[in-house]
Order: sequence, then C-alpha cells, then structure tokens
Amino acid sequence: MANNERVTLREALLAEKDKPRSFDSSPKYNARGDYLSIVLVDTPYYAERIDEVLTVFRSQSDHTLIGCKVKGVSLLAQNVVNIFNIEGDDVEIRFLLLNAVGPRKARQHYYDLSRKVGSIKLHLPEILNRAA
Amino acid sequence: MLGPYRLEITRDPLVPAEEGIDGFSVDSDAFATADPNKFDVLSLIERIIQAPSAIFNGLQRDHFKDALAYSGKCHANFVLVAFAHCDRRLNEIVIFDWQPRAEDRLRPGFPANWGNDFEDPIYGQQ
Repeated sequence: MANNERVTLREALLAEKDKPRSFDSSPKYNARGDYLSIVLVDTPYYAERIDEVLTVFRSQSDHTLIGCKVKGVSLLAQNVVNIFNIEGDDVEIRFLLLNAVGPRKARQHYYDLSRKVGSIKLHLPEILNRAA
Repeated sequence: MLGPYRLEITRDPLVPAEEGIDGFSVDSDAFATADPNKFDVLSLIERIIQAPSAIFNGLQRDHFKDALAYSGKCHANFVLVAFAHCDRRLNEIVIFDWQPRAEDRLRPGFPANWGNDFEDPIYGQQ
C-alpha cells in the first residue's frame, strides 16, 4: 500500500474524537517497543525513568506512584517461564519485577511497585511469541 | 483502520542520515491501547516531531541503541518525549511510545535527567 493511501494520525484522531475512551487499568503490551504499561489511576501523569527496565508513572498533581512501564518484557517473561517452570497463559507481574531487580539497582522502586501492581496478571502467549 | 498512522510532516524531518526513510508514523497498537491521558497528548506528537527541542539517539536499553527520542514542550514544567525506531520494512520512523516527563529547569524543552536517560543528543545540544 502506498504511503499516501494510509490513514494519517490526524484522520485516526478525528475518527476517535466523539468516542468516549474508557479507562482500563489492565496491563497493555506493545510488541514493537517490547514494553508493558500499567496505569492504575485515571489522572494526568508523567514518567520518570528508573533504569533500563523500569519507568514509573507519577501523578502530575501530587507525584504519587500510579503506574509503570516495564521494558524488555519478552526476555523477562521468557526467563520467568523457564526458571519457574510456569505452565498456563498468565503470570503475575511481580515475577517479572523480581527477575529484573538486581543488587546495584534502585530496589525500593521495585518493592513499591510490587505492592501496587504485583498481583496483576500478564497474558503471556503474545509476549512469548515475540521472544521466539 | 490500517496503521501505523502516518504523520503529516511538512518539511524535512530531523532524523539521522538514513537511506530511504520517507516519513514518520505512530504505531497503531500503541494508539489503540493508550489510556485517556496518554491519548490526550497524542495530538502534540506531530508538532514535536516536526519541531523538536531535542533529539536523542539511543534509549539506554538493549536492542534500542539506535532508537530515537524526540522531546518538546508539552505544558508548564513538562515535555512530551516520543520514542521511535526505524522500521526498514516500511522505510519509516515509527513512534511506539510517548510520555510526558518533567522538564529540565536549565534547558527548556529537554527532559529532566536527559544525560542519564538517553545516549547521544543529536539535536538541540547548543
């Protein structure tokens, strides 16, 4: 398809203009960027990079932790599945965080985040397909 | 709708020298799954890609050493950073994520902590 036949961002935004965009706190995986993002509170936020794996989201009004972005998810998921011998389609996000935290890292961020999002589950098949 | 969604850039975009690159686009999955607050700032992307305050090459992540980060003013005390990579199949720079960040108080339009968070600044250093 030629470039000029493709939908533009402006057209895509216009098509969404009158559709209410509902808030959904489930984790979202992006294959192109190999990251997952979770936003727990529907409020304007900003991102703060912690390290090569973790970026946290904080409320613009009071700076509280309201979500995160976890990068390099396909490798983290592959490690978790193989090390813990997990069978099934879902894994708790705390296992990915445990897999990523290390002795030289800002561990408190991982601990804080695990308390917030740890038991939320991530659907694995799409992610593991990317790693394959 | 078919994606990635093309950006309408009206002058030569600021990109590293790459053979055959003929445009920018936004990943359609990132578009579809953006939460309401992330979606709200998407309308700023085109302006920031066209007239960035800073561009960085390398995201300090494995497999994203050649990815790009474009930064520009978003609203008071914040910048919007758009993360992109070169998709050779499409011959486009595709934006796969974007997020507001605190602004560097000494360098308007730059994200705070840019010296640690990104690799080479390729535009906006002076």
